[in-house]
Amino acid sequence: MQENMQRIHDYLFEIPRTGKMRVPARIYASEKMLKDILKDHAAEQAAHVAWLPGIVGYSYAMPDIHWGYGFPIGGVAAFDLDDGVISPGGVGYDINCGVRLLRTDLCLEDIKPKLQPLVDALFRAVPSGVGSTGPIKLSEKEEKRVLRQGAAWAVENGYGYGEDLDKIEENGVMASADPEFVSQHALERGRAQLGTLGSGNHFVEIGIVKEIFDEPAATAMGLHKNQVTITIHTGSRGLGHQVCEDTIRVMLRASQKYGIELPDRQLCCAPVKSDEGVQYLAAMASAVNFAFANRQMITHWVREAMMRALGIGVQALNMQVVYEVAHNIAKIETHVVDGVKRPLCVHRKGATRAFGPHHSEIPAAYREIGQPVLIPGDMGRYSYVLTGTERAMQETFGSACHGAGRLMSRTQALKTARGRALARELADRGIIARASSHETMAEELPEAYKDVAQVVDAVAGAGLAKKIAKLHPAGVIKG
Amino acid sequence: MGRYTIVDHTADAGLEIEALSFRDLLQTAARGMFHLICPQCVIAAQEKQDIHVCGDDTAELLVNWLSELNYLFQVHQYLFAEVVHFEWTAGSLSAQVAGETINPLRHAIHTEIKAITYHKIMAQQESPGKWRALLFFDL
Repeated sequence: MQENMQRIHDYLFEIPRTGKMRVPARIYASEKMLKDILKDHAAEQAAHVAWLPGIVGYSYAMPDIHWGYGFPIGGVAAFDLDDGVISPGGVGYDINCGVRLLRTDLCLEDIKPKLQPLVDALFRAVPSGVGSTGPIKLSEKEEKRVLRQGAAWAVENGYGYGEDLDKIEENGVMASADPEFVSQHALERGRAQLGTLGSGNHFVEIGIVKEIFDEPAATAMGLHKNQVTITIHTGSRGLGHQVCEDTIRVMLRASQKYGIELPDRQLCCAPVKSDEGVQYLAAMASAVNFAFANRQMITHWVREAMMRALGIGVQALNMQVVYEVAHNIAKIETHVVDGVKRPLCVHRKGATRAFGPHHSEIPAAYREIGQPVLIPGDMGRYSYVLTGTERAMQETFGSACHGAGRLMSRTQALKTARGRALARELADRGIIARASSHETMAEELPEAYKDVAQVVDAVAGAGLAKKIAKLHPAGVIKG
Repeated sequence: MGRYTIVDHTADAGLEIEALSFRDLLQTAARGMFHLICPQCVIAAQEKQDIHVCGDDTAELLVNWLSELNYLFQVHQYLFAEVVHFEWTAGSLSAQVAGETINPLRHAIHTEIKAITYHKIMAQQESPGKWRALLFFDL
């Protein structure tokens, strides 16, 4: 793989089309990052995606690319609606895993004296950890309403405000959802999990805006230096995992039925317009809506917990949604290919939509600056707010990176953390962290992740996104 | 009696399994999966559950078997201990398993498994009395 790689520019490398690849694969990364990327099989996975029928342009990978299942994490691929396919492996198990950024009217000094009780309050308010269940137990009928209505269901039921919906990708609902294509197993796995964070790398983080790179864009987002923010990272929980698992069973047969040759079973797929493809899109969109509702409910509990812990009211907190992005999703979008507008099925797996300025799907408030792109880092360093660019529209179907990407396996992280008081280490750096177990804290060790600054510098260097602001963590709860 | 080894993966974990028969392979894989979920757990074989899954080959049967056990864990908090009864015909398997419902006083759950993947999946008989499998979990 390394021998074939061709340098296009400082932040872009190409795997030329060979064998059964229908198009070349392109990896956005610096030369330094590429060396690490080539240590596992992620680049090979990007090349395998290029085997799939109807792929348009290139099989892309973002700088946070790492080894996934089927598609690499950090993969972007678009398929023609008539000749192309849809693959659950191009979305991932955690359908609509995503990030929401909230801003407040508070600054660091307002929360510093009460940081520990504030983190404790968030930890109590947001159900987290392995198998976490929420206070809401849905009937099947009500759960299906969640799957149809997404974040709007949460607002309708008293969790947050109508204006929250304006700043969510898709306004918090995919209309193509049809819960009748979601299995009983999936419904059962999701039923008690609405409004829960889950485990692993999911988190709620209190951040402080440390640096502004683009003042007008930051102002448009209501961000300023020293401001307190909240980032929520979670997805569709067991419901989404089961939808993906159920669909893989169907798609394994569909791949045979439609004569699709696969280099890896996990890339199983079906033509976008086939019954199997249409049913997956409907089930996937249902899981997407579950995740939108999930983050909306967590937002509500974060608002309540912060007001309680700080003894302030709604106006003093003034917590508003800056934006929410999905980073595991497939969508039908229109893009210009070779000068012609075409509807495509765009898969983003560990990649974020990054639409440039003036796109009609961006909220009016951001139309001049481009869509906000939220890139969380590890719990000890920093996160970034970027905006999408016209260049991303031209090159990557309006897509950019999604996060730092793991560097160490969980086992390695546990070994590295052995004997260390991680909560104390973080506290010494001004970060109060709480996790549901010591193991979670150890597995999520900051050095277990790549430095997200390198990832962001690579997408900014490639022109796929613009740096707007940098956030430092002050408090974090881990699942 | 089969044995499993945990295989490291950047974001997740896998299992390499050696077993005497397909039944032994499935039981060992399930024990490996529940070791990842609950490493220190002693699981009593006191509650029975019936499982029926289909699959075109042994790899697919293995994935679907573990998926069903993971579903029982996620929804009914059921921890697997052993296979009690087992019938395998081409394309499907039916089994009765024994285990117990989580008791928070005795069972400290370490992780949850999002799904059982087909990444590098392998489940085959290498010679009489020797089965091997490799699989990865999305954690």
